[in-house]
Amino acid sequence: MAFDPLSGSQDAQARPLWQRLGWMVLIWIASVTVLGAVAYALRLWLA
Amino acid sequence: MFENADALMLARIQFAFTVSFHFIFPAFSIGLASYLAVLEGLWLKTGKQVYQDLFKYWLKIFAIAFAMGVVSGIVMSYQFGTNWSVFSDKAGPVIGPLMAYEVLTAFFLEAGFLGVMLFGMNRVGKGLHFTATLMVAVGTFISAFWILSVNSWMQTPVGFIEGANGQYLPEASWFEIVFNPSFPYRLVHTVIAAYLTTAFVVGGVGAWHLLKDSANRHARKMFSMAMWMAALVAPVQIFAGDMHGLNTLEHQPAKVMAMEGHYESHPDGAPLYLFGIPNDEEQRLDYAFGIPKLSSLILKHELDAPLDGLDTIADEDQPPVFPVFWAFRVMVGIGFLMLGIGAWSLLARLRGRLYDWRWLHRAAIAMGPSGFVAVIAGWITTEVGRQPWTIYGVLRTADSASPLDAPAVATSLIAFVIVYFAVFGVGTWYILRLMSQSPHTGEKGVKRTEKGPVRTAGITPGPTQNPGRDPDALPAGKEEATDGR
Repeated sequence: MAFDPLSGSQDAQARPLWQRLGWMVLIWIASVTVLGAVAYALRLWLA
Repeated sequence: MFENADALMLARIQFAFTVSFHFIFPAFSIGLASYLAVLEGLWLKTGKQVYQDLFKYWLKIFAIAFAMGVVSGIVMSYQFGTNWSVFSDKAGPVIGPLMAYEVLTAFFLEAGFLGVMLFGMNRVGKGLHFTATLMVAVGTFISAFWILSVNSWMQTPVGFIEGANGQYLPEASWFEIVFNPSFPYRLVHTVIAAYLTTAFVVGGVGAWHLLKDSANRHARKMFSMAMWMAALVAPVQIFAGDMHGLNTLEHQPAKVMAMEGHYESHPDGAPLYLFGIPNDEEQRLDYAFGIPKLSSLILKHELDAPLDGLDTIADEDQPPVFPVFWAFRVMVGIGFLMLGIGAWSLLARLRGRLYDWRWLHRAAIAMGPSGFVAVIAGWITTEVGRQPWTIYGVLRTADSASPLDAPAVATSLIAFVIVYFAVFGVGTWYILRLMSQSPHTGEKGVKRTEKGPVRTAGITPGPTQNPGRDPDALPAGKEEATDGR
């Protein structure tokens, strides 16, 4: 499947602000968690 | 196998290797994050497809460069503990909090909002997506701010006292530590270097695609934007570099002596050596070729101003001259080549030949990686020039290392070399592959698996049938009206 980072903006605009903010917080937490996992794995490797 | 090796030297090589490898990525991503913010902002403001396409094109590349930068940076900070534990112990109370701020910035601004940038548009909408892009751009800058503050404190340490346990402790004000004397100059010089590095990569990629198709409007747009950066920012960078050099002369004179190849003092005006082979053993510059008194003019703004040489510095406090002398010349040489490309592009604009002057495009391609070479050369100049100190005048490099076992350091160094070239080599190869693909209308994020374009009925146009060319590309030699010429 194609991945388009700017697709779906029209659909998103139709959602209420609180939903869009909620998604932003969720994606943000997921991203930070992934990086934390990578950092921890590197720490284990170097230790 | 490595029993007789110098463990300290191996540890220094390991740090030099990992930090050089690491800095390639932030040097690119700092500038690219801001470029993406500009592209998305222009897309939202003007609604022009070309900005959206370029945003998507460079976002893929940014994501990979950013990921490699973060991973290689994490390895670096662990290395403080493995090989440089005495330095970490002594300087930790000062640099620890600053490094922590950088990590928090990298994690919570850059990495967190990168996820929203990549995957969030269909969930958060345009406004919040643009906010995320801005956060990533601001995050890269703040991240650079803290790291450069730490490094600058190591070059010009102030605002601390030595505690009874030998640790360097903050004295009265963190402001004095953060904004130490060399920090503003290093921050400006390094961040501009990152912007120029990105501009020349973008310009090189644009030139590459213009050579293949001079009517490609996406290639035209990115090449034009990059050449504006080169023309306007390269002179600013040369001025900032000069100011940084004067600051270094004030606070780290031995480094400037090594940069200039001045083994001997010159009481009646010092020459600017363009060429020479530094000979530390004999304390002289062999085969020297220079312009009389020009160094005094540049550094003191006076032809006959006296300049001290390394003969005024104790042998044990001198940096190795060869790498500093030549790295400095490589950096400055590339800076002036960038200035030349910027001036050439202005001439091409004036003549209406920006998009069909093939020699300009070839030169821009050749200069594409030049920013990386310049920033690495710059860091070699400043880091080797600080030797034999890790914290200038306070803590020697030889006193900073952990109790090291040469075979262990050598083994981990070999592991780093193999893993770095394998992992980051693949990443770099993939970035180059993405760059080799022509930017086009209906740019997608990653390779499609469907055969042929997807077209929905009605008003929504499908992607171009010929991804190598734009359906609305301008004829060769024609300018786009919105290029700001």
